[in-house]
Amino acid sequence: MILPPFLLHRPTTVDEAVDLAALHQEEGVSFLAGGTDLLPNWKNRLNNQPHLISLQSIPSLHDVESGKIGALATLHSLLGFSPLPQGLREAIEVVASPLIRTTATIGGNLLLDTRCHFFNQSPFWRATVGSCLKAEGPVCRVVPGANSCVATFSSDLAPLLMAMDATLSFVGPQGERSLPLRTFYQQDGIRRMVLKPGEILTTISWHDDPTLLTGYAKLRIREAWDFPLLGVGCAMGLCEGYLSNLSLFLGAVDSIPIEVPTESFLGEPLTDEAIEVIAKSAYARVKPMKNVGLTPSYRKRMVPVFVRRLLMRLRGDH
Amino acid sequence: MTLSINGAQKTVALAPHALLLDTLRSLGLTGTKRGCDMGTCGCCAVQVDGLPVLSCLLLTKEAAGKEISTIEGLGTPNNLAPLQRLFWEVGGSQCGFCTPGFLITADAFLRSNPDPTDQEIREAISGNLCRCTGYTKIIKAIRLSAKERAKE
Amino acid sequence: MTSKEIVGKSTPLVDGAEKVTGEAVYTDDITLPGLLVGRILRSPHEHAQIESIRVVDASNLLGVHAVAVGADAPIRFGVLPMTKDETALAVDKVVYLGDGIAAVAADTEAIALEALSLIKVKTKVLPPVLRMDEALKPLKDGVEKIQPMHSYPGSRFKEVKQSFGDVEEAFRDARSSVKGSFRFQGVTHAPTEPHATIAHWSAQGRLTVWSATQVPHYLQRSLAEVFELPMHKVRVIRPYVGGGFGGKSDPFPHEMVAALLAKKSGRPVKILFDREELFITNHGRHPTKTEMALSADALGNLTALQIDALIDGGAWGSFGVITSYYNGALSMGPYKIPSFDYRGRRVTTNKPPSGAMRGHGAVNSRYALETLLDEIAEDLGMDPCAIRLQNAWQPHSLTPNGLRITSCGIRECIEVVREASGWDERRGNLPFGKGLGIGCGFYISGSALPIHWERMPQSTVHLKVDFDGGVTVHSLAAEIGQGSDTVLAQCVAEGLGVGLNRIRVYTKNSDTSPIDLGSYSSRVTFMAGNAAIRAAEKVAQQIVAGAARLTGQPASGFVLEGEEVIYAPNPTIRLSFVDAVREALFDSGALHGKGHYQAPNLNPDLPRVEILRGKESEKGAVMGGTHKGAAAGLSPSYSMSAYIAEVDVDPETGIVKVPKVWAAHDCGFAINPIAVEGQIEGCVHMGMGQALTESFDYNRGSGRIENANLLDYKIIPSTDAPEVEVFLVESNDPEGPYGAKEAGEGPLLPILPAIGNGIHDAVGIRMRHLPITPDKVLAALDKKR
Repeated sequence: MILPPFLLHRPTTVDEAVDLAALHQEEGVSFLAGGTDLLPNWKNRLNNQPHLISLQSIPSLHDVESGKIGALATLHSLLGFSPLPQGLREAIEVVASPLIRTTATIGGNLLLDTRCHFFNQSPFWRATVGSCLKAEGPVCRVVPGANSCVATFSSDLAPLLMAMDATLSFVGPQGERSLPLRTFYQQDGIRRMVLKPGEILTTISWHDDPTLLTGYAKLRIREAWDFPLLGVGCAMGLCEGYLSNLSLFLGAVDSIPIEVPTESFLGEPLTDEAIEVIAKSAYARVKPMKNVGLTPSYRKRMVPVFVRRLLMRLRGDH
Repeated sequence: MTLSINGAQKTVALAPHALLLDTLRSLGLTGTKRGCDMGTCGCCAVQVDGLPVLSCLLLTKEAAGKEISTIEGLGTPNNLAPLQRLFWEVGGSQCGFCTPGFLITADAFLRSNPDPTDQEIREAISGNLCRCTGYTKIIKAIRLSAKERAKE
Repeated sequence: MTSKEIVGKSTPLVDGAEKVTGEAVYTDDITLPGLLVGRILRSPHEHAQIESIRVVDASNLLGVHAVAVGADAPIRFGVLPMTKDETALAVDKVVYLGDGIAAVAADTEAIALEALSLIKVKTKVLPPVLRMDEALKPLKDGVEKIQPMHSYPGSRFKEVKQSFGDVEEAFRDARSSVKGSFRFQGVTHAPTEPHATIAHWSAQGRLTVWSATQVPHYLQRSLAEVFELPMHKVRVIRPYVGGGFGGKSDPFPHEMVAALLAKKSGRPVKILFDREELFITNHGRHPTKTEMALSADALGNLTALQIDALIDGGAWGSFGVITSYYNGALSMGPYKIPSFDYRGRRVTTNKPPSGAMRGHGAVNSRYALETLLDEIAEDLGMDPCAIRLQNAWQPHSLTPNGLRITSCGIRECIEVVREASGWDERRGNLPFGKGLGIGCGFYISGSALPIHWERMPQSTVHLKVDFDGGVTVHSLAAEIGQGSDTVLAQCVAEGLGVGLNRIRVYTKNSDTSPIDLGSYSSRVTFMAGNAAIRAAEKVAQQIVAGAARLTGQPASGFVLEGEEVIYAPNPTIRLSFVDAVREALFDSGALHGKGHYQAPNLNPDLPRVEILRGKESEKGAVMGGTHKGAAAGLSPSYSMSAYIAEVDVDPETGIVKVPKVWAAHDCGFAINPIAVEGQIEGCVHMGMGQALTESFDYNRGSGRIENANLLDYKIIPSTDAPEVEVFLVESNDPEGPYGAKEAGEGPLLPILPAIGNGIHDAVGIRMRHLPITPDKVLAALDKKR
């Protein structure tokens, strides 16, 4: 599989990258972080652009400090960073494979393209069925008649970082801005986040709270390579057995991470009964599509199981 | 542009979209294999600044200024690296097509973790696909290599 | 014979240094002056009539040197002479989604791809046949037969029936009988090296093809047929091959296309497959529906087996006639079952062709049989190991369908894994969710019936020993990673009493190597190994003659060992191997020896072809009986195996893990134990994939494979692979080379049922549909609750 031709730009500062993006915006631009998601897609001629702006040579984007991570930090490098919240470590360790993680970046994982059996295919394959909404086709092949794309949200890090209430910082033509990660995604497999044209994700930060319990649980067929078929990210504050904080997000069951409401349990002890109620409510909130591995009904059925197990683990059950 | 490959400087003319895998193979470094071209088999692994990466998903220009190591730099038939010798001796290589990728991954891994458990070895090589061995003898070769290094 | 010095010792592969240094040259590593890139335009339809192909725009593109279509090479070929149904490119119509329509050769891949996009194909889409049940029905009015040259009506490809003993009566009288409907998804070989081929026509009109192939000889034949050349005008070179598993055991259309493009362009052409093309062109294990019933008497003696296998051949014949027989015939071991009834039906569908894959034809029926055997044991209150031991064949038995079993180590296999796994104490006593399961296997050491019924040996090996003291081995046995070059080197070194460092193995070039039929049906060690031993004997005689001449002692007293030629009655009379060689050749030139192997013909009075057809001899039983299809499944020897798998089932998620496997395999004699172990460990891995994770998934009932990539086609990674403890059982086969028999395919069989039966032990469910995905496990658990 050969890449389509493009012009590669390798700016060394964020400002330079923003200017280059503005300059080539009309012709079409993409930013390159680690490339482990973008390059396979481009090889498949999926939404490739004439200009590719690599961010890899911008030193500031690689900075890592406690609670504030440059978007270009590789997943591998983060595993060597201390202190790293336990849940983030768990999420990183289950992304793809070690060979992917030496190149893949935290920013790239948060901006990971959504996935679907009708989208992640070769040009030959797509031509045999007709292209889909997400690959500049006329219709959704998963849900006939749908007017927005239902491709599956496949980042492992996002549900966890949303549970941790992480903040994203951007630099764009209009300058800098920050957004809570929880408001970043939108339920549309194509326009999957509120990123403005030419904007670059620069840092991911969170309030460093060593008492916060975090964890990530992933459903997949193999313990390497596979994208999640369900991902559960959780952040929990427990004060003498009482919940001071509980936040729970589900990945890979929709085009966007799904939040499970937990406010009513704050100030209460995390009993088995409470966990059951939360698990049931998680179950009720998801409707997986038949566009990635295993059946939607199985993946939905696993939601309460994975939620319950993660909550019990964070609570301290062995 | 100039690339540093196995300690030697090579000047190459490149298209912007050239991938490191293609560049290496066009230079005659065919020990780096093309198994899937999509980052899903690990046959094309090389080390860049000591870390194993997939050369099918790395633009050559991004490797400029960095030290690239391929299987050809690990050892030669007359001067095998211990890891190569062990892969050979214990049967960690059958058809041999995935072998360079495994060796590149394992070599970098043992540098970062000189005394690994079998589980850590399994994790470390889990981005490399082998269809012949069932991994058993690959894991054994890596384990023995770690033990040999520890003795030295 | 003196004690063995080389064979039986773990020997690193003789071509291993090249592999660990990256020096080994695989087909895609080869470049030639003027080499062009060939690419194939593939059909987007499952079934369609080609009305016109307009290639002029592609031909006119700068950098394009040749464009080919089906009419350029319309001669049909195929691995089996009776079902030649393939062409280089589609002629008149395409029969599966991905079938080649046209091809180009260009300066670069980018130009080739652009050229393909400029080829305009007009087609009339025909209704496809995609489901097996549909394929069994008579064709509807106006629906065209997929392959008009197939002799069976409609979409049926082959139907075989075999029956021995009174099955009905046996079931009527049985104390216990069980039956089940099993389903198996298709799986594929997925070698790490994609298919690659280079073709070049020399100025003298000779065709040379370098190809990643398991069967250089069949490729040579097919190229000769398609290009209407005498066979000797075709040279096939097999570079290093990055795994085969049956996936490179057919002569392929892309090999013909490369030769065609090279002929048209006058330049060498290379075709390298994308990973997706491996899946699309497949030739993997047949999707199968198996109805099976098994019965036993009150003592646990098996009495009858009934199999009805419906197998999906996809669009082409490939090895399918053989598959149709193997699904039944190879179920007659390792257990004695007096009555047997088999119906095998293979259908043609508009899907990627099925073919031979490791354990060809035997794997799916084996899963069903071993599962039912466990159920019978349960019904009779017997231990699954005990019922297997009780019914196991004895050495030197004849099965009801005429398979001649010679060496037979099945009992030792079962006993050793039973002991090692702690079976007696642990099985049934593990906590819910944890289980132990057993499965056994039985497989051919090469087919006694060659594909081409001709008067030709199945293996020939040539040796040359010259003044330099080096020994050169020539054979066309295809080294594909299994270690066959090493086995040949070991057999020759042992025979000449020299070290391996003297041996040089040349197996890559059809011009210089005598014919061997190739690496399929687990035949190479047995057949080429025997040929190598005989070749070494011939050369040894010449060396001994030299030694006799030099020492004045009678030739009959000499032995070759330890790099010396020793006069046994007086061992102080000895000379070095090299001195003896030099004496032997000084007045005659380099020493040569050849050996060949031909599967035994038990009735020398009958012409071989008649034997193969199962004709009855006047003088008594012919090997393999006289029923139709008697030769299918015949082998000079059979391997046996028994595995026990420890299985963890998470009853809440349905996820199955296999932490440990105890694997015992009767390989007769392990010429290279490390390689035999490697085959077994690899078989466990590949079989576990079919059991749990691997499957060909078709998109919404179409002929489009949904998971034609290594991310979605789920091969087991190192994190999920079990720990495997291997036990080599050596039953010392009377006809095997040094007693050896096969170890490449049979060891795949037991792992699937061992896992399935382990799941039953863990959570009490019987899984009848493979792969056993978590959703299926939960569904079965729900049903049980």
